Amino acid sequence: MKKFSVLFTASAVVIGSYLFLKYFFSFYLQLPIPASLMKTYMFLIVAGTLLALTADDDSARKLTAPFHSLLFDPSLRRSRNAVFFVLPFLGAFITYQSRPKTEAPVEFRTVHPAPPSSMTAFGKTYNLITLRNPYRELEINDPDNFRKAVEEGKAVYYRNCLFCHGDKLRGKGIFFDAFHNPHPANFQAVGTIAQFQESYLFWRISTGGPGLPKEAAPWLSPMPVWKNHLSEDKIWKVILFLYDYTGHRPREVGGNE
Amino acid sequence: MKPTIAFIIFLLALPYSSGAEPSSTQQPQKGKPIYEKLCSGCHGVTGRGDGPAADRLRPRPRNFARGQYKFTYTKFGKLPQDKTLFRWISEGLPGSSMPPWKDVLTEEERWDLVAYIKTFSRKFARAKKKGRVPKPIVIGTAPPSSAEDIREGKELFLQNCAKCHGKEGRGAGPSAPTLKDSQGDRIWPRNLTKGWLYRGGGSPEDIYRTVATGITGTPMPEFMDSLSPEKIWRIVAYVESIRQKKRPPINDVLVSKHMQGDLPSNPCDPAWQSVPSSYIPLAAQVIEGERWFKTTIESVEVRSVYNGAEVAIHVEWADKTQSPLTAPPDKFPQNGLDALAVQLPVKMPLDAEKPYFLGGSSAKPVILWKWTNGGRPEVFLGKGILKMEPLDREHQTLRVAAVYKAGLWKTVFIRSLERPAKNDITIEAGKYLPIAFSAWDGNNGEKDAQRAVSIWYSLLLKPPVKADIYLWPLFVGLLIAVGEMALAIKVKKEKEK
Ligand code: HEC
Repeated sequence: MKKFSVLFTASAVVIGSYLFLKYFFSFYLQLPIPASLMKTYMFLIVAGTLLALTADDDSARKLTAPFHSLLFDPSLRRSRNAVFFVLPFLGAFITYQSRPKTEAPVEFRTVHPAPPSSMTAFGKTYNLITLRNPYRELEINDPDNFRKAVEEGKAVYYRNCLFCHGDKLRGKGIFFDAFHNPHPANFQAVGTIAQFQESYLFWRISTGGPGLPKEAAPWLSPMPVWKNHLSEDKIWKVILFLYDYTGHRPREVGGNE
Repeated sequence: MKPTIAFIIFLLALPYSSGAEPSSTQQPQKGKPIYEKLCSGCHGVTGRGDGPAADRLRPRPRNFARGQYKFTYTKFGKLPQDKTLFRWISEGLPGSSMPPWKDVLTEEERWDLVAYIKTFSRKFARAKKKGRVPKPIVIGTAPPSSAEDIREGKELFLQNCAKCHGKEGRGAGPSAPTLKDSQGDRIWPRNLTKGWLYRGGGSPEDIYRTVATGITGTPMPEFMDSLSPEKIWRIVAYVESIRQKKRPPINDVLVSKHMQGDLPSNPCDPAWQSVPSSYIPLAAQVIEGERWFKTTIESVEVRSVYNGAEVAIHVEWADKTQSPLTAPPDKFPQNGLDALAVQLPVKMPLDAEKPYFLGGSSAKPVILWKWTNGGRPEVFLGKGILKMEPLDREHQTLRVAAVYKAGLWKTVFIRSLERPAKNDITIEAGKYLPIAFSAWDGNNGEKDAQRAVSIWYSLLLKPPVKADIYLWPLFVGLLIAVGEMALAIKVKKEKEK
């Protein structure tokens, strides 16, 4: 058993990395790695593992030992025949599997592009670097009116955003299936509103999908251009609601990166 | 070690604990803040089904003040059991805006909510005072059903249900366009073929319950007094036989098959049955212009074939009425036109950049093939959802045929692969062509921007299969075999040494 251990380690490292790349990214982070990139990564990992394990003669010999004994060890004759029999079919099968298939072209899309430094809406120009939510200060100065503003934001959300972003603010509204690419943002997840300043949301909500820069594929996003339907005031209030419901805090203006 | 294992088993068992019996500590006052945070947006703070979202939802959110609940195990119009309310809060009502809450709320919180929503109607307190408890019907479990039962079930279905649900069960019976619920809102009979959208759940026992007790507050009557349990079970068996249980999978590529000879231009041509279909879910156009929230067309199903000269796209969708109606019911005077549009870019995209999915833009327009019931097919250059310019008719090679039958529209769009005019698209095989769909239900008052829409999909005219997809694997297999042979010879020689 001992002589198999180096080969075993090598396979474990390669398979482990594969599973990690595949499942951690697609299920946990919801960022599946495109097949072509996956191939490159796996090539690097296999090459790296081989290099590391064959650094000195001794371990190189250990790595090849199982193959050597498969070929030469008389007691392994049966396994040898089995392997020899299966390999050509395996090769043929893999070749057949890797024929060009009808997968849609991969679309690279930046989910959170950098915002512009300024934007225009409601007949005004906003400096997005210094822009603040005018209602935020009420949170400390006037909690009653702050609650009122949050409630008004809630009504805006339920009348307008619910259908896509959903009851639980997880992006699973009734149109989740129909708008699955890109799907509506999940505000509960750590990767969305929790990492932005409120001015970022003001920009995204006011200008919607079509307001995105090219790298974010503005032609795909069904996110409406809310400056066409809502007042400036209502947009600020719905932003209050998103943070209030999820319990996330907006990033402070000028706060640390 | 052992306590840990016991604890793990306990944790694993938690989600399976029944929760079907009310906890003894139900507290309405504890349900109140939960209700106000999670439920009031639709059901309203006072429970009247008038939250800010209410008038944009169909069906409307339940009005708790009326004490009328649609899906219950009690007789039509009677108050539900607590555990029924608990179930709908936990599991949600599929196909409606009511989501399941069991992933967010603990069992106790859900029981507190049950107690709280009951306070909105005095009926519950009154019943309690009089010592009346809701009496559930007896359902039992579904008996095994034979082909004979299903056939009998169909007979019973045609006699009792087809007037509203239609002979094919798509909810397109003659009475369908005239129905209202107890609040005066228009209501449609369920399309029973789309089994994943049954509001009250889709198990045979659920279907039995709905048939037996009806749907309170709607024209769906109870049958428990007029039909024996055996007969109801036969109807259930028939409904089970026509219902597709799961939503079809969504595939972003629509494959068009190559074929020799003429393309099937009749939408009912049996040749279409052997072409695989793609399910394309649609959403209400809640994005631009005059927005629209209450669509009735939930999806379209698309098939495609092509030959050396033309491409055919078969689009099929469920619509409970053919509009314009010959005689619109006076209760609901809506009498628009059913229509469908296929949207393509003007050029094969050279890079990933596509026109805006919702009708294109002036900078990057789209081509629209629009069919309207009763009208001629038209081709437009779309520069925005409402900015559509007709392209000249003379050069158009688009042909459309449409047939309406038993709650289903079937249409075929056929066009030359070669572009018919300069500012139109040439369709090439082997390339991914962006394609999107819009559908209008005239009888639902839909027109212009008010419609159901899809996002971009890709249409791929798949080049005919060439022999080399089999030759290469054969070659690789042989190569490996030869290599092995050489290796074996070498090993043998070395051993002999
Ligand atoms: C028609 C569906 C739809 C509606 C309605 C809608 N959104 Fe969106 N929204 C999306 C989609 C899809 C995305 C993700 C794609 C993108 O970033 O544009 C998104 C993204 C966002 C983002 C960016 C989140 C991030 O992590 O960058 C914000 C903020 C947002 N929506 C807020 C709102 C608000 C507020 C409303 C209601 C006033 C609303 N949305 C209504 C579909 C919708």
